Amino acid sequence: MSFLVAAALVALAGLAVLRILRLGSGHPAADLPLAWLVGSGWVAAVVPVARFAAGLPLGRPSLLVVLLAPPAAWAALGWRARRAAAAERAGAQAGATSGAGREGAPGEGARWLPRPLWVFIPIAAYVVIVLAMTLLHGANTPTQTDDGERVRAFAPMLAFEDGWPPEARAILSIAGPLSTFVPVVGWVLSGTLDHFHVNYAILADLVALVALTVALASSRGAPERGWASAFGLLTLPLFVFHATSTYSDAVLAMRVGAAILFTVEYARRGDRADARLALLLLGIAAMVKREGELVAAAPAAVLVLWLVKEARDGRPFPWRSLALLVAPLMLCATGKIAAAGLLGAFPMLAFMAEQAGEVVTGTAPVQVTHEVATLFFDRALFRLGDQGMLYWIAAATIAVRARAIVRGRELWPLLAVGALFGEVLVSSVFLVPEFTLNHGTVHRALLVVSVPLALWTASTIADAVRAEAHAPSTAPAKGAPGGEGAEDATRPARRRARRRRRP
Amino acid sequence: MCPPSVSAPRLRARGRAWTCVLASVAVLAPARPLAAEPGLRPLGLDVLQDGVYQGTIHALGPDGLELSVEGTDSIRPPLHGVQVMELDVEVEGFLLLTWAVRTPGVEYTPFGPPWRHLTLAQGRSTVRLDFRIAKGWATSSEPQIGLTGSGRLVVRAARWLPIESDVARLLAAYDRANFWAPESIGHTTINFITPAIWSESRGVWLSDVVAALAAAVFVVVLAATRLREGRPRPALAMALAALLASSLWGAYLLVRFLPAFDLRPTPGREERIRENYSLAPDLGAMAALARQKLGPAERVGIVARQRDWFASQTLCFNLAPRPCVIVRQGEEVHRGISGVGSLRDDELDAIVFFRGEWTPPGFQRIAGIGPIRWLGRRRP
Repeated sequence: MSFLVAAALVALAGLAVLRILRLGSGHPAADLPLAWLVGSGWVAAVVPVARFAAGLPLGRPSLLVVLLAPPAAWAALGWRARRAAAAERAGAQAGATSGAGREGAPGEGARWLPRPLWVFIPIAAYVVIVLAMTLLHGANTPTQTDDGERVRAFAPMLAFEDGWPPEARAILSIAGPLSTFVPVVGWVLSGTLDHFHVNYAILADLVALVALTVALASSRGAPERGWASAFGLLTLPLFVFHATSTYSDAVLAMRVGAAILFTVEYARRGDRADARLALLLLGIAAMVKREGELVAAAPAAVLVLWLVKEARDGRPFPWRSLALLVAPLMLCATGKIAAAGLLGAFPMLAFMAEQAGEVVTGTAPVQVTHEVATLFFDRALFRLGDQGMLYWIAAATIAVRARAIVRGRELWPLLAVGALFGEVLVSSVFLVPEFTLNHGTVHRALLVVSVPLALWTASTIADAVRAEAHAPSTAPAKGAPGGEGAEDATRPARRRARRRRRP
Repeated sequence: MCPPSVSAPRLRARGRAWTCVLASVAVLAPARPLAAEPGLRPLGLDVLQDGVYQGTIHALGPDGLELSVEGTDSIRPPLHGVQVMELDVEVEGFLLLTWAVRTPGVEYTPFGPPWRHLTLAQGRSTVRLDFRIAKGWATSSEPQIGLTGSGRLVVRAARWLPIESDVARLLAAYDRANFWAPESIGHTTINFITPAIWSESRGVWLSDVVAALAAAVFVVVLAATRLREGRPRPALAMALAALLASSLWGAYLLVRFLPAFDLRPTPGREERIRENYSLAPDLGAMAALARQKLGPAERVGIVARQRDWFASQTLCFNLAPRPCVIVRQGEEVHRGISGVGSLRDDELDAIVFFRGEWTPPGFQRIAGIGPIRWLGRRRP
């Protein structure tokens, strides 16, 4: 119960942050899960700054201030906007617009039932069944400790105790602010430590991502894409298992996945609001685990490059969007540096630099690149089954749709996922090959690639089928989904026609 | 019955879809579990008794073979090539059963992946131990049954399935057993799941089989759309191939995870801690007991075996927010999980003794779940 209250307050804070920033998906059904993802990011960004930089103890009053500040600001802004609108009306001018609205949302009709229904009913049933069993097992399973050194769900307990000796601050740097402070909200508000809140927080992320995936696509007229993406996501066995554990690998993957979801949407529609949300979510993803900053940096760099390219093509560069990425990063860095010092705040950067140094100087203990690469590409991606059939399907999709992808905007989200893949590849094959050889981390490291890739692949396939169904043919396909949504279709047929015209 | 408004082409489309579904089922059907498995033969309890570890307190009486377990005990029946063993058991206490095989030339790692284990239910039940799914099983393997925890086990009857002479049938049964084996959740599952193998005996990966089927579907749909519509539809072909591959893998995920997951709704958190530590039921019971008996501010020390990182950390973790440290012999100042927090010997109000190798002086037992798992408070 205390978690539900906490989750509602976190989501309310997130919704308020979205409204203040004039962001949103354009539909309440998608805004609600998005509000949880953003609200938890707000808690993770602000609480460490308040605790370590400002020196405020983490208690019920300070936490309530953090949680209620965005709704209060939203209400104040709304009141001011209403007053301004009333003044305008009094001046007999044009109707006022709400200051809290979302910018630039092109009107797209929501459609909630995927077609053909007989195909999507089993798919939806599978999604519901796997989600239900993951929720049950995840909520039922007490924390299994990690190894001789670390206990993953331990960081929130240190936050609850709020004592913070140096060893505890080091654990905060390793776990990241999001995994440390979000499960604590319910404990601090209720005054009771319930170990299972760590599980619930991870499961809430899963529910939010699946709901966002389905609702976002449906609210934009393509429920097929949403259900296919959720289906793809929940056929990843190791991801499903991780969501039932108290490890943070699935959390990082889901946070990056949500950002890629909006990157894909930006590719489809070109609405800058989607790019802004993608950057904001990547900024929040950087607050998960010690590797969060490095993981989020790769797709963020691609997204920024994309915006730079668009600026060169004449579209103004969205500086405000960049602030949405930078602000959570700065807040996170401030909190962590205040807690653990500059050297202790970014342990992964130091670790990677050390590993890279060993590789460059040839002093790395494991130098079996060929064997490790074989294990990575053959076994981890395609054979062992931890990632399901995803890499087979993704490789085939890229091969079949190569021309359309390279010439279209779908390339950029794929490059973002590719950048993630490159990071994991370099880490698994060159920097820490021993953990690939013993299967220690390679499979869960791949989760940050697999989740976004599943979303991209399902989306690309669904769009391609739709485009193909609308393409002119000698004999029109019977029973094909018709009419709406042609704007989000990929364009193989159109491109072929353009090529024919060229000579 | 189809509604009258459904058009004939749509009906045909549905028919094709159902054909695909049935074809998928047909693909998985050959590996149906227990298909054509012959009946089990009775196994004398004296054979089991011969394999009981020397240090274990046991007796063969009219009720069956009774074992008193404290810590870790084992039964190594003097048999070779056991495929399946079924035991009718009666249990009191908290016991984890691990089954494994010892095979010449194969490293014996009973707790390594895939760790085959089950928590024995209180009261009477029948447990089925499929040794074919244990790591390194061969016709020359010796079965090993490990018991961990605290309690009493009575084996009332035993049955077994020895190897058969028909090698083809034996290998087919071996492949079926491994294909349909539920995921074995252990300490390493967080890093990787048990590899998905279509045929263990031939070394064929499931992913290769599914990929081949999906490729066939892709080619067939491509050709069919070319013939029927005058143009190939690669995206549709890709979608159907991907759907087939994902569906088969999704179905396999359910096969593996549904029996392994704990799907019983358990509202109480104390009950979940007590009953859902499936890797160590005695540990869950001890953690729940300590949570129940100790006050919220009592300072606790965990006394466990030196190399048992799991028990000491898990107990300390579950006792939060009570100040908790892991007590080591010969140290005056003890540290908490990951070295966070410290308490001196004289600052401890209580200890949780869990199969420790030594007992710190000055504490008296107040509750326990056996002689080597108990809770103690400092003597006044």
